[in-house]
Amino acid sequence: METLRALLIKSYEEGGLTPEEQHLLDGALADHEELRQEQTELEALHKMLANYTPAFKPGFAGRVLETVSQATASSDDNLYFLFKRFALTGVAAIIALLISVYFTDGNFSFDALLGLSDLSKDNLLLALSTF
Amino acid sequence: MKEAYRKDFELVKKAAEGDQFAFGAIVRQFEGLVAKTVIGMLGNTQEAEDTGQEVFIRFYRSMNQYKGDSALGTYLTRIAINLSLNALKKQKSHATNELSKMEYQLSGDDETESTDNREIIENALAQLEPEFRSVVVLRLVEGYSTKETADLLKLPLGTVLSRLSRAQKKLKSLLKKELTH
Repeated sequence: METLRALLIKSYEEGGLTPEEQHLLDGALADHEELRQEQTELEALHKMLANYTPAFKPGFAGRVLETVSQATASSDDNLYFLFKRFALTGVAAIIALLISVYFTDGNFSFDALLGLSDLSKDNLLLALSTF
Repeated sequence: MKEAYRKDFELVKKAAEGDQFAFGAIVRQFEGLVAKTVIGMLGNTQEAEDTGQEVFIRFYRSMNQYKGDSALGTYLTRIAINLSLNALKKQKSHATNELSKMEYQLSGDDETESTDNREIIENALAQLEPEFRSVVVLRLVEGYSTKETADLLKLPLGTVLSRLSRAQKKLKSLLKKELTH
């Protein structure tokens, strides 16, 4: 009987049964009331599950769109925050360099910025010829 | 890309380009399909709602990956079933889930016969182990073929057939009263 039950369930799946299996099942269904009852219950189960239509609470789509919108705004805020941090760090580094140059050379000349203000032309030529 | 899925692909492309109306249309069109999967797997709980939202959020973040090789509904179902199975793994205790279900249902669900039937089905599905529940939800609730179910779950066809057989036997036993009514 277990084999017949298995055939019954298999008969509802694609591919179905071989001709021999179908013949066996057909004969068994004709002979066994219990198997016909199982077939009825199986079909009722399939119908019950196919008609099962659960739903989210009303307004689900709106909640999804709101969540997506908030996540997008949050993501933009994060990028801006990161940019601000890097930008401010960079500006602080430049200001610190300028202050250092001013205290060292007393001015903001191009030579002072490049660290060449104390270097004479002879020393420069000597340094370059070493390389 | 298959011609049959071109319409889906065009809609997703619009949404990916920033068209919020297109994305909203996708959510509204497939809300029911995703609900069938996540509620079938997790029950009518707040966790199912959260997982349902997560399906669409994940999709939103990865819209560019949809190439129209499958129906959009199938693509979303794949995300939904994976997230649902992950959620089931994380569930710490049966008691927690029951409380969540009760709180969710008390917050505005109407009392109708169809609600009772849904509860009966959900309670029966909850008695199945996740690996059996997933094949039932995809094959018998969503209506995918056995082969499509196997593809979605990345399982051999024989395994799906075997699990389906065992799951149906158990469900018939659990729902005997309703099936013979």
